[in-house]
Amino acid sequence: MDNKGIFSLDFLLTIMFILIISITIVSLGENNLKIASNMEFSVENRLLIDSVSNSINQVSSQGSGFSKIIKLPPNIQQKSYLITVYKNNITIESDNKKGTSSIFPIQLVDNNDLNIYEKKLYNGETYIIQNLENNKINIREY
Amino acid sequence: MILKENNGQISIEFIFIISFIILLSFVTINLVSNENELNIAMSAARSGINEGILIDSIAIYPKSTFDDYLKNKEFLIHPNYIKFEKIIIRNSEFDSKYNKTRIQLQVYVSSTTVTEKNDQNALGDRINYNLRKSITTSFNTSHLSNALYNPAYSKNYIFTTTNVVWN
Repeated sequence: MDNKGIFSLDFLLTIMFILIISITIVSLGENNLKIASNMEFSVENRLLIDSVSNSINQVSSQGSGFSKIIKLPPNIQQKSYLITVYKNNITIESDNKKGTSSIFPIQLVDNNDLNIYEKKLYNGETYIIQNLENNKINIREY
Repeated sequence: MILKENNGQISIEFIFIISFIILLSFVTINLVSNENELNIAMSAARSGINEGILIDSIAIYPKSTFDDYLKNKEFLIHPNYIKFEKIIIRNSEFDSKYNKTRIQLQVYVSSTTVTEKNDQNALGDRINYNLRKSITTSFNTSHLSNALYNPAYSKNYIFTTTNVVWN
């Protein structure tokens, strides 16, 4: 009677069933997982750009002298991104995807108080958004 | 002399049960796999619809699409509220050319913001595209289909889509 080191038949059968079931579930779920991670990327892009546009709106609506510091996350799902601020909207570009968010119309100025057409914001940087006067907005590295 | 061997034997009841189970599974496997195929297709369709609606509603598009919309359909580059209502099987008939059953699916969605016909068509096409893409990838049949995954193939069915209904 050898009782040690022996697998019972039930155990083998159970393992086999578990393997079969898990392989089926994994193959079914794989597609959904891919979709979910793809969607997560887009949603994170949307959330980020909306929060930046919200900050700019806050600064422009609070009146002259008001400023706000924003810290951009280093990446979105390990991918770099670029935010561009225009007169009445901002866009985000990342991994061949692009989206936009509207803002109240502003006049962008550089550090020398000269009008500029656009301002690019890079991932991982910290910026200060400042309302100089009458919706003249200056965004610079903090 | 009667051999009294008690170890290493399978009882006759066990063999009966096992053979009955095997017989039963042979009989039912055809039926079940057919139903299972439809179930997988419909759940794939639903997850594809969800993906399409999400892309439509959060408005983060591939760069080329975005630039195209910026020129021609500016309304679509802003987020919209779209709600999935139902999916129905519009037509189903046997196609003797492919030896498969042809199924036409129709999606119903509702939106309070998207009211223009052109905008609805653009967003609806994306929903249908993702629906077919999801079915195609679920059954690994992208080699049979074209770039727009139209139609989407499974083992025993061909799936096509018709215009999305907006309420």
